[in-house]
Amino acid sequence: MTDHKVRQAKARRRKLNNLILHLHPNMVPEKALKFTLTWGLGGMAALLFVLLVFTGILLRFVYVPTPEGAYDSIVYLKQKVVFGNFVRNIHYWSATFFIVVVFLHLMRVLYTGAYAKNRASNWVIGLCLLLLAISMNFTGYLLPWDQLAYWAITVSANMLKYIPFLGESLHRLLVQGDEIGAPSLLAFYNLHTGLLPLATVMLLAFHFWKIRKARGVVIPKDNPGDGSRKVPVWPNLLVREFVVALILLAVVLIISFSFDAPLQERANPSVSPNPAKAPWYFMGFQELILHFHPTISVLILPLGVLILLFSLPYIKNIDPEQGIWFLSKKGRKISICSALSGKLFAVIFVLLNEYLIKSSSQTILLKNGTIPFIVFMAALYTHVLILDKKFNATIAEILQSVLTIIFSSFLVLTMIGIFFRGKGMALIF
Amino acid sequence: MPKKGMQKRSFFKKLWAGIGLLAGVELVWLTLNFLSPKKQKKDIKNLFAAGKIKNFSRNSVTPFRNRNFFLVRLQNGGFIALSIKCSHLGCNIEWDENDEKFVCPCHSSWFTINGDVMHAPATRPLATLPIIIENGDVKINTNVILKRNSIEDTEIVYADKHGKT
Repeated sequence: MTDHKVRQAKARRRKLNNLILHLHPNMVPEKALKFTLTWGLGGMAALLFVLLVFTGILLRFVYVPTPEGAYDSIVYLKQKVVFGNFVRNIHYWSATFFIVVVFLHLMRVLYTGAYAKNRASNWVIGLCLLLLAISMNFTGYLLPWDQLAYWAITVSANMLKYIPFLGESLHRLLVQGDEIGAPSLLAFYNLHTGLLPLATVMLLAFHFWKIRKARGVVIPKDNPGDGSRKVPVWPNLLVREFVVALILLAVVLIISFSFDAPLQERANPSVSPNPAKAPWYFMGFQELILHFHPTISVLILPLGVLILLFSLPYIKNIDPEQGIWFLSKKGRKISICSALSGKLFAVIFVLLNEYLIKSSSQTILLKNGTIPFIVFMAALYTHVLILDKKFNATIAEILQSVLTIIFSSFLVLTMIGIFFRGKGMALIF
Repeated sequence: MPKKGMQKRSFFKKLWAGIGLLAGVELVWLTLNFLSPKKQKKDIKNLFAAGKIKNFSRNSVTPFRNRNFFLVRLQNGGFIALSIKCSHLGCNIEWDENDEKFVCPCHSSWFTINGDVMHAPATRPLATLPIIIENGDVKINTNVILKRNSIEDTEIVYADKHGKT
């Protein structure tokens, strides 16, 4: 290489350092380049967030946050504004993908053990970001002020009322009154376009910084043979990221071009649609409410899972093998079995509950799901004992399996809620 | 000597911590108060005249959708005003004339004519609104919604104060 070329390369690298804000170091471990280690999910989430911010800023120029003006402003956006419908579609589909990708990102971090040790605090930040992502989507859901928005938020907000003692006040605080109206719309608009994105940007910066502090993405331990080879970030990592970003962008644009974001009739507080469904990511909860007593489905279960998730890296003696999918070969087998049994369990439970327990009038404890809940917890406990005693699984592997069962059964409930519930919430096929 | 200074220092530390805590509590209280919605108009009566007693036949249900309630006249002549909001997740219920039951379109809870749960997922009876009968007029205070955990006959209002009319 000539002097000139070396100088050029150095200059380029310097520029790069400024450009990407120190997100990446100059040299990265070769192992970190493997796509199937991370599936690029964190980066995808970041890109979707950027898309959401840009389209959101555009939408703000047209949107009117009042019950009188909201719906008309969306219709105006769709019919009169150049590319208005397209921008709204990009916002809608990016938001939908954002929830999916953020959730998958959580799964990836869980299954590669990347929540433990020096990454513990970043796991907690990530969980906060997940909650923010859901809150942003939820507050945005009301804004079109059509029948879909109005009743989905009514139904979801009413779930809060089942929290003992605090529920009624929380509901009043959230909807700023007794039912969804002008004050709720203003509050949701303010949260959606102000406070929540701001908090997300700040936490995201923290999230990225913590990744660098932990020396990049999680990678498997070095074997004695191969050592840890490092390669320049340009072009190795950046080109890969660029390709993933372009593909994701293309997918979002194609879908936004082909499928319109839903817009039903103007919100009518006196007529409930049949059925009234919560936003799709809350359909699992709505399905749970059909089977369990509301206190179990909106308080005990979600709170239990959240506590487990937040405390996961701080549980005593938890020491997952990092950078290997499902932690180990044994972990992979256990996880696959857990996922299958969780799904199977959910399907059988819904069918059993729909066609046997509900139709025959038995004890109230069976009907309101108390007994099924106790049976489920007992089964889960036995499962943990068997993994511990018989299969000699580590704590990390056991908890991974428990979370797999919970998530996969929740996934099935969500699917049933979205696709297999028709008029009057009856099962349809 | 140094012991006394230490004591002083720890006293001030505690004082500062206490003041800081107080300021924090105050801030949370202020924020919550700022964000809490306006007080309910529960004390103000907002009487809505639904009509003359004789306009409502026995065993009938009359919807007042704009006022968010159903006026029910029971078989025994008593009146009861049921909130239109389902006690499950707040959708608007509908009266099914053929099966004589209230049906929630959202999650298929059913209620009897006096608002009791016939079919889950609802767990509580429908809420009621207070009724006042004056000079043969049935009036409903639409500013008040009374939640119920079980069915009681006290919500039923009769035209004749002594009982059934």
